[in-house]
Amino acid sequence: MLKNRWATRVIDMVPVALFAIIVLLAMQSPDLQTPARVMVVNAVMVVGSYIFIGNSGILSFGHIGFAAVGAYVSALATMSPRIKSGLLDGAPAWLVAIEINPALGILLGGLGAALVGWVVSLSIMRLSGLSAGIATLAMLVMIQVVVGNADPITGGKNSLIGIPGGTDVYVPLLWLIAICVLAYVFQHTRTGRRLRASREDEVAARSIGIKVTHERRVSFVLSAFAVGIGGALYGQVLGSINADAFYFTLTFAVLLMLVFGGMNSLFGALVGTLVITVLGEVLRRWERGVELFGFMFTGQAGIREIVLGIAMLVVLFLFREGLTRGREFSGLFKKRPQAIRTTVIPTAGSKEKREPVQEEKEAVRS
Amino acid sequence: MNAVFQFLIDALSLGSIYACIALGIALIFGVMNLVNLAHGELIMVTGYTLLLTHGLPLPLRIIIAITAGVLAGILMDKLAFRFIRGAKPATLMIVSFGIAYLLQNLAILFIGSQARAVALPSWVSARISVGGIGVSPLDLVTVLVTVLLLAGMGLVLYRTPIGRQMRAASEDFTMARLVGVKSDRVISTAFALAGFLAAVAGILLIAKTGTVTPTMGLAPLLAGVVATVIGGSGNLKAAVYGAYLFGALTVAIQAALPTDLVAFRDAVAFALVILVLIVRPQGLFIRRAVAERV
Repeated sequence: MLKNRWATRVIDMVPVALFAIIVLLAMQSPDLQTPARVMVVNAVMVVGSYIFIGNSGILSFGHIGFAAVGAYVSALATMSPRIKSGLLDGAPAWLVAIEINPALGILLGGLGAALVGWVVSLSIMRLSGLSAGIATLAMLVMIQVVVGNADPITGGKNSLIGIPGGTDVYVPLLWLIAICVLAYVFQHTRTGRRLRASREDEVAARSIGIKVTHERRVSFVLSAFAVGIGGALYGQVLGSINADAFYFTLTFAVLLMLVFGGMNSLFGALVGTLVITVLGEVLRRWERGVELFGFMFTGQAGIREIVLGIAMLVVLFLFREGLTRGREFSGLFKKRPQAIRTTVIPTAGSKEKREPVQEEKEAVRS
Repeated sequence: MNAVFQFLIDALSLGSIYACIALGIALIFGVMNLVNLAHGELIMVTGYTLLLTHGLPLPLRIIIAITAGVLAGILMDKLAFRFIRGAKPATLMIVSFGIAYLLQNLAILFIGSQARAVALPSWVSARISVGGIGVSPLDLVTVLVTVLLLAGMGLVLYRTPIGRQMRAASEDFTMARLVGVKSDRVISTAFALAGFLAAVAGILLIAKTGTVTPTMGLAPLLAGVVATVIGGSGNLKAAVYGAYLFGALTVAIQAALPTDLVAFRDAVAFALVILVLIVRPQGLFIRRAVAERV
């Protein structure tokens, strides 16, 4: 019985704390440090995507484009002029000369992504549903093509190497916590609630005066900022980036994590990131070979992707809304509100029988 | 004159291939509201079948490859989409994304991630001269085959009972069911036809490029989806028009951009797509705006 609003809010933050604790524990073991750092960076991108996808219900395939913008802005701003003049042929002098603190670089990356997001949102957010999804896909292709071919500025298909930044986990972790708080606060603001209303029924939301386009635009820019931060962290944690890293593979990985946990809650975004990372890491080790009871078990390389793909499909077949079914952490302790049933028109091939609605059950009882 | 003719041939042959892909995507979108992101993998399956059957006579290889494409389409429905009938469009799209990822990685696991060359007869890459204008026989074959195929599809869709049912289902699925259209049969048929179209498009594409890779379905998929959306999603004719338009557009941009900017061709094409979507969200070839009703 959680009547108290503040208690609910505190409880909803528990997964964030647990996530941080798991990361810090993993950092104690030397061979888990890299996976733990990568997981934090992935979590930033997943939660960042969630700010838009989860609240608006529009599937965006373009968010990794913002990660690319964030990563490149932050990398170019923080790399030493010496490395840049070696890598970039024909870059403008100011771009080569600039060198700022890595911590500031991350923020600049996020702001750069937010700026691109704002420009894009002016047009794309007027669309809804399918068209919006396709438009974000078009945006991803555009960003990828521009980054991959603007040789004097980005180095084109070549990697940018020697990106400064720590190997410590605290900076990414602090950013993750900040982004989670941002996501959680946003979904409880007026804008967030209006957006969630439009997610459930866009026509109804418009009819009561919600400016769906505007609400979407706000969440899109916030989300672009967060994913841009994720991209900047990606560059700093790995030390090098290239254009191909921010394309369909990463898009799939991030969407997989988000959908696996449940794309309608922050809790789901974190659960998905954790489960997929752990599963992926276990499979990676298995591919390398595991000794069990004196026997050596080796999986064939490539099994990892296949198991992850099958796991995603099975989870979606079993729980269409992901593992958390769109609930926040506090929702686990609440009685699930009775789903409102509209007239049940049998959808294609559905074999489920129509369950009696609550009132009908009560009517039968009385 | 020569350049104009070359442009027309290029635009027609590219547009025809896009049209086959877009029509398949539109068929599936019509009957189950799914943007099938695994559509490109039907092409990939066809391509690998063509690769693995080398040594057999070409007509037989083509028949086997097309059969593989059709089977892949049907199996995709029976093994995956059947389990999530009636889910939200976003969920369906994610599932198709997962299937695409899975199939690509299966191809990498069993065949390898490198591009493999497909042995084809030499006339495919030859050029002949027609009235002083050089054309490749492959382009002519492409245009001929696809136009025949699209005409055949038109007959199936407009003159046979299953075709009528499919069009009815893509207008209003619930209504179609209420008047007795069998949903699973219509969906299966749509997947089979989509597989068939994708297989033909795939064979023509491979004849052009000569290689197969696990990710070869991506570019045609993008083109097909874009064609469907700018034409008008859910409308079969509009998808075909959209495909020819997008094909012509791609060729035109390629020709118009200065050489050092050709790398940005796709960026320009996709910027135009966003522009079209904003000006006409319902699609270019849909006459009235179909707003969602409550």
